[in-house]
Amino acid sequence: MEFPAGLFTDVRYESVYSTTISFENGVLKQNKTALEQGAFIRVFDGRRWYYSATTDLNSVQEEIDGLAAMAAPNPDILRDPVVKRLEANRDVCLRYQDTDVSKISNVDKVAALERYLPVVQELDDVQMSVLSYFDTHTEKHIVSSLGADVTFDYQRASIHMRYTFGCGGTPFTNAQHEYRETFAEVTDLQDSFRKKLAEDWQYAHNAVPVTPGVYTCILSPLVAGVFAHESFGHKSESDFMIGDETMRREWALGTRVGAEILNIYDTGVPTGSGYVPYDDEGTKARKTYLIKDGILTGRLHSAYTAAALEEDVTGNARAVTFEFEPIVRMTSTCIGPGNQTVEELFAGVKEGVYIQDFKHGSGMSTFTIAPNVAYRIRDGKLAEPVRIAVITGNVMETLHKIDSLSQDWQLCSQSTGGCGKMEQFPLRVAFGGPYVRVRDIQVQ
Amino acid sequence: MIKELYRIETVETSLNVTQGFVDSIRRKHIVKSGCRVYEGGCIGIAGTLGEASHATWAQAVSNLERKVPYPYAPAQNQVRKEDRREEILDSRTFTARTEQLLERLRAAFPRIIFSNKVNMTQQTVTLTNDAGLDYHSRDLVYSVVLLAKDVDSAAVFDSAAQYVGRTFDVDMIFEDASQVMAAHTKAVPLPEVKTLPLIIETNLVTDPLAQALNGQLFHRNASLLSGKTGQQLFSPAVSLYVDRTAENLGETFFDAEGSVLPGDQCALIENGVLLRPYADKKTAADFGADNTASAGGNYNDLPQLSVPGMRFSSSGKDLKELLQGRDAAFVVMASGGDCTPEGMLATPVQTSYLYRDGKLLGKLPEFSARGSLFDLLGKNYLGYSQDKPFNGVKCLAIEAEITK
Repeated sequence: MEFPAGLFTDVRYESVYSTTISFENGVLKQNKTALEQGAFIRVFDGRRWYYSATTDLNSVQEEIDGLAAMAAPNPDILRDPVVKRLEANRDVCLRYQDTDVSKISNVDKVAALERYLPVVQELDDVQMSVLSYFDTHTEKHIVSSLGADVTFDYQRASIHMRYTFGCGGTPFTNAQHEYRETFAEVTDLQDSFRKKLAEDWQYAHNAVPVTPGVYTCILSPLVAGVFAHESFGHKSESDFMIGDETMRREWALGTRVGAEILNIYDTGVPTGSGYVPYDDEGTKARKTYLIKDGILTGRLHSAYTAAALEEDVTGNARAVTFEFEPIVRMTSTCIGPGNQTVEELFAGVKEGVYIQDFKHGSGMSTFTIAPNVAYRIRDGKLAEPVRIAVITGNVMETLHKIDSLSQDWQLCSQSTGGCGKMEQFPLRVAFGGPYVRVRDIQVQ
Repeated sequence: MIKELYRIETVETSLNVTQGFVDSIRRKHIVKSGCRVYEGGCIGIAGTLGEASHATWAQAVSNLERKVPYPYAPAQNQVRKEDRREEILDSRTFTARTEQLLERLRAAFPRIIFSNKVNMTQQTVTLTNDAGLDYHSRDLVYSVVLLAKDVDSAAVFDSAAQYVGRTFDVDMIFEDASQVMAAHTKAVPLPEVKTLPLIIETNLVTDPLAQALNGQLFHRNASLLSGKTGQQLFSPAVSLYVDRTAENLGETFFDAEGSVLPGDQCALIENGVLLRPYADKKTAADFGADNTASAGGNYNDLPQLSVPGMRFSSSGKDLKELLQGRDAAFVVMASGGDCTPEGMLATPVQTSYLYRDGKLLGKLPEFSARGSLFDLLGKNYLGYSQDKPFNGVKCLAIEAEITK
């Protein structure tokens, strides 16, 4: 490959193997195996970026040359602050070669999924069900004109059950899933699903509409992670701050932004759906504290935003597929643990709401979470199940109203969906957290 | 054995805007090919990025062994080609016009920072088989989604200048954006009322309706609307259609199974009466229901029931007439809300502007809106405009309960 003089160039090759097998109401509905390969090319002249996405891997040189023709060669390109921040790592980080899901036969995958069919058929009032097996094995190879040459992989296998209970005219739809890294780990999880479905059945058939109002809420570890992602994670994505003096002033590192017990960080290091050993411009993963002891401590960067804010890269330049450029995104976003037991958290709530599961969330100046399973808390105990459309709060006020965190802590991976940011959706991310108690949440 | 090719070709120029200037240009030319073979009541599918090869077809035939049932007849002996493009620009002209637009916005609104994307996307979808099916659909859509932020604001963004359409008229897009941006600079209080007319894009109500109108859920008593066919559930002014007409930007006249509709549309709700849920071939066969050409899926999927493009019928009045002089909130952003199983919809309204007699007077503070889906489309339904007063699209007007 020839890189044009006076320009920065990199190429990201992606190869994604995937399987989707689904039974709808017990009947085979989808059995798909796919191998998708493509490349994303970037050329930078110090003033503007030029991108191209292609599925013709033999045309990469042609694409580079075409983009270079649009750019203006810059003899000082190596001294450009963006280029100076781009890492030139050389590494091969292939940790899923021995357990590669593409090596498992389709027959074995179908047979494994069929063993889950009785689980959903054992319950009454299941009006609709979709039972699915998903796997992906992704390999990426990034090379650049700076000498970067990084190859890495990530993988997941998961079982996913989506179902609707009729509930006498107020139907309840939910999904449960188990996310693992290898096929062998998902073949025998029937009991876990039985337990979750039985709990959901009880919830669905007993839930009553919540009385709208302002409540103290306890968030489960999953919902706490979503809260961290939506309420603060998106604000930490530095592409929103480029050239914006007000944002830089308001979001100056060292500013108190939350309660003293609050720590929020993002990391691509742990395995799971937020595992990103290198980001999509070849920067190595690391743990970045966004809030430490309630103080704004860091933010997430690509090389472009790090240069603009005169900070360091963090390994958060990510693209949803080879068809898109990397932009600043989260990986595994977590609230750090506290020092209380879960029982102690609940004991401090006379009238409140426990949010166990969610459908979706969003985060601007106001964060939102649409709960899927929630319960009232009365006198420190879990009480009746309630149906809630949405909970909301002002982000910057709510972070100060977190008054208790549990020692129990979980990192939660997601089998489907992911994070959306403008045109790029869904990006695989994970959520981590303890049980979180927070005051004055608007519940509707 | 019938062999069928489902091919999607996307050609796109995407301009990224930072601080009001184009800072990157992305070009994309992607072909996705799905090969389908039908035999003995089963379907074999294989897909590839790029053009289908002998190997792709061989894999599709081999995949018949997976015994995925598909006992429905593929579309046959139909030929139709439709090119819905209007203004065709080359990438250089599109970029130049975008830079003109940005230059005018920067000059007119020096205290607002614009960012995000301006795209020109052409998609060509073909469904052809060796049983005489030959469907081609091509469309070219321009989309402007410019996030807007006050220079003094600490928010990620405060508002948006948006447009979507088949032409790229800088004057028109600028005028539309200017209405919103001019109002943005002036704060006005939320009216002291319990309910307020909201001017919204339709997805705020069609998203929860989409779940309730899903044919599989509907016929399995798993929908809020199950068992209510033929009932007057909504205002007589409400008619909702599956829309595969040219009015629906980026939509094809056929679905992923090659089903088409008479006049390219089909009523699900007419004059407030529920007529039918949306359905694909399987749903129609399972329940003896009408096929509403609502199969979707990825290029290499077995076609499956998917939410179709839906459109309200126009009330035959401009927005100004629908509101009859009443104040309303023109909603630019209402994100993160949802609907409970019994149909209670609630959402924060992050960005909206006070509308009075065809003009936007100023920016309203953030508030919450809620209402039963049956009320919002019932006694509180004000209509669907015939004009396109903002963002190049028609507007839905409904009245909702509001709280600060």
